Amino acid sequence: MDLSIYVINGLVLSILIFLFIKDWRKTVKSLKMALSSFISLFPSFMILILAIAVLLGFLPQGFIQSYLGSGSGYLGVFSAAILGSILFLPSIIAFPLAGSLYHQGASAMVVAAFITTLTMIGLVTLPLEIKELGKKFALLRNGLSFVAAITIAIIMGVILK
Amino acid sequence: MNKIQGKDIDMSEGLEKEKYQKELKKQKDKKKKIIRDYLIMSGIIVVFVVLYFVFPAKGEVSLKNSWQFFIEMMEILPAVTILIGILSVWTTQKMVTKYLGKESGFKGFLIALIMGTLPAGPLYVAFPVAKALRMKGASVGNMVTYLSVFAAIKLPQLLMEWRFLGWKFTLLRFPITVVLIYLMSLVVDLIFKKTEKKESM
Repeated sequence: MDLSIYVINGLVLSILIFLFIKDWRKTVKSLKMALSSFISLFPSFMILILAIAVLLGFLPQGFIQSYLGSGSGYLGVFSAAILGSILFLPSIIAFPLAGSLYHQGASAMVVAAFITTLTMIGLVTLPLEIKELGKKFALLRNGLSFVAAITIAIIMGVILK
Repeated sequence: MNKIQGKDIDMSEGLEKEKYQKELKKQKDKKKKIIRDYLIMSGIIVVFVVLYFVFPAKGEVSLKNSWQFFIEMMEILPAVTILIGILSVWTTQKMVTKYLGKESGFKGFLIALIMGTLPAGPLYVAFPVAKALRMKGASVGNMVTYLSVFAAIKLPQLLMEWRFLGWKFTLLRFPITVVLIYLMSLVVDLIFKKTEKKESM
């Protein structure tokens, strides 16, 4: 276990205790919500874990590094950004996925592009966004987000080399 | 006058009913989706077991990897879901419109930034909030900021990012993303102002 686990769990636990003293009814309600979101997130996590395990087992060693590593350059970043825009994954699940790609040798640039487009751009939800906020706004927001994601990725790639 | 008021009440009652039925349907759909997810999960577990026996050498490695992955998840998932629960009970959508309102400039950006990091949930949940913001007179730029922050750098997500991509990655992506979101909000504001003048809306 590394430090992040202690800090994150400690932080959440202390917030929980603080809120419980302040208003226990609301806190119990929060815990109920937490349980239901745990139940709905759990299968997605399991599917992700098993799918990654099978995939990594069958992909030849070094496959990810050669296609998504720093050698993949801008093409790798661009494809990751496109993939992130199309895929529709809960963001909380996206991070473990991105993490395992990162540890298998994908570059920081590729991972940053993937995560940023995955979270900020939603082609699947675009019709809904157009309906709620207008065509101009939705297209502008998604388009600019794509440019922003590529920029973020390139800056991160330069710094985290 | 009385007639109009009476009509209003009827209409709002009708709306309440409709809202309630919509909510009920939503919950049913959610339950269906959860059941479907568990079914898919069981299917994949079966496939995994079969593969394990067909390719024992690879299966051993896969099993070890997925077990380790599973532990990593379980160390953080309860904390993150509790945080999601806390955030969704203690912060309301009304809060966003109340604090952000017509606030503009850099102060408006900062408030939109803070408000965006607090909620939990998928991005499409934030669309109606952004719509409400616009009706309350918030600038288009602040709507972009709120939505983008909500999407890319909200609190539960940052915890996951720290855990799975490391603090270096997270600490670097956060400020860069904030700067780019600020630029995005400026650009959108500018474009909307220009075309609004042209159309003289």
